[in-house]
Amino acid sequence: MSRKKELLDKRIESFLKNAETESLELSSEFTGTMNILEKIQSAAPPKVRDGFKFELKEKLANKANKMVRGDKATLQAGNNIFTLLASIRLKVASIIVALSVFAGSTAYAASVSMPGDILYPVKLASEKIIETMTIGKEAKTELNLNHYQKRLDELEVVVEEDNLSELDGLISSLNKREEAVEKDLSFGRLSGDELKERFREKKEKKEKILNKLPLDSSSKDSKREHEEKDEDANPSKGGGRDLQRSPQTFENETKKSEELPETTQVKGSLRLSRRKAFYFLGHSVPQEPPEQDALLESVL
Amino acid sequence: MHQDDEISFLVDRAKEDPRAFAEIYEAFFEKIYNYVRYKVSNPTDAEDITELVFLRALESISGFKWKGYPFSSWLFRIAHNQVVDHFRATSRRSFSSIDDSEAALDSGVNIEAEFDLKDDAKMIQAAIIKLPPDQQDVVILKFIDGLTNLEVAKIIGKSEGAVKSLQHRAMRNLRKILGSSENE
Repeated sequence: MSRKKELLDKRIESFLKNAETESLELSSEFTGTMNILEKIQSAAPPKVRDGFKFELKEKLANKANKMVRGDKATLQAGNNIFTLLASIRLKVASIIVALSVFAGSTAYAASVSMPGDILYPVKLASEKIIETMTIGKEAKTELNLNHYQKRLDELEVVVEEDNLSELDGLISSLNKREEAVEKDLSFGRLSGDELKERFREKKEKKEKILNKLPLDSSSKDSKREHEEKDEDANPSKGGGRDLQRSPQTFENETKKSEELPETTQVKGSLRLSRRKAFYFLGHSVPQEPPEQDALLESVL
Repeated sequence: MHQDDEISFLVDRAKEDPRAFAEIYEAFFEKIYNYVRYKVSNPTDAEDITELVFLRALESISGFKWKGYPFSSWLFRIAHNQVVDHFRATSRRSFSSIDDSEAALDSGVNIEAEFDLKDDAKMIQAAIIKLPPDQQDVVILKFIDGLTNLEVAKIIGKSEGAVKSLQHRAMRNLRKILGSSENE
């Protein structure tokens, strides 16, 4: 027991001795560091050569002035470039806007153009392009119907405006559209009854418009051709109007025609000749004596 | 006005107008020169480097952006890079590594005699030059220019912990160098 106590006492004594030594070392290190720091912080700063600070300040001032002048020159040059670029951009933008407006106006003008207008071929061409780009039989038939409707609308206007010079081409175009739709129908491509019904309505409308058509040299052939086609298509109708009328009726109509004035106002501003008025009223044109024709021509 | 606010105001003015840089130069000339002079033993080299530092700062101040650090960190960073470039260009080591300083200590090199030191300032300067570059930076920037560990870390491109470690090693080495010179 006493032996153990002796050993413990020796260990404690040794530990305390070491601790004292370490503490002294640490203290010495700390003191040394503090001394160094004190020396560093109390040390006078390195001397600067006389005039160096001023010389450098002058150099910096000159440099700063150059930079300011350079900035101004650069800014000016930049402004010139930006002005030039802005001018170019403005011109390009103006051209683009002008072209866009022109293209848009042309497209719109073409879409509302009528037969005989300069842009009417553009309208037909654009329709052709749309037709080419349309995929699917039903969609194409639908498009054909829409274009058929457009031609009908045009025909109506042409007839109302008495613009007979464009009639032949328009009726030809209309017939082509009609054939195309009928072809679709005959091959059973049109599945919907609604489309068939719409087509039937359009055909009826065409009939009505053509019935309004004044009969003269330019339109007669087209109308007769149309009527012949109708006869072929519907033999039950029994042919044209002339065949349905008796000679007696024809005589009465001749009398009626003689009673008509030289010109008749029909539908507001539409001026129709006697011959045209007959046709408009659904009567065939009576045979007129040559002198009456001459008179008519002089009036027209 | 608080000093930092004043510096911020000067910097913002100089960004708009380089001619206002003169006031920044007045505020920082001594600190930058001291840093360079402690790093480079030759006074002429120190002047050249100081000039390059301020010229570079003037050219770049328009692009300076506040990133949460004092303006001085940016300026000292330029100085640090210029010093590094200087040593790279001259391909010489005007500083010694810790091994060199320890070797000098062991070989009994008399620093006072070598640098013709007459006072503590010169002795300290000579001792700092004997430290490795990173330790030199920490001692100069922290104990001479009074920057914080974070600012020093930003300038020398190390972490704050690394700066503390460098500081500890620098003080131990300085004790050895100075103790040796004092004993002799």
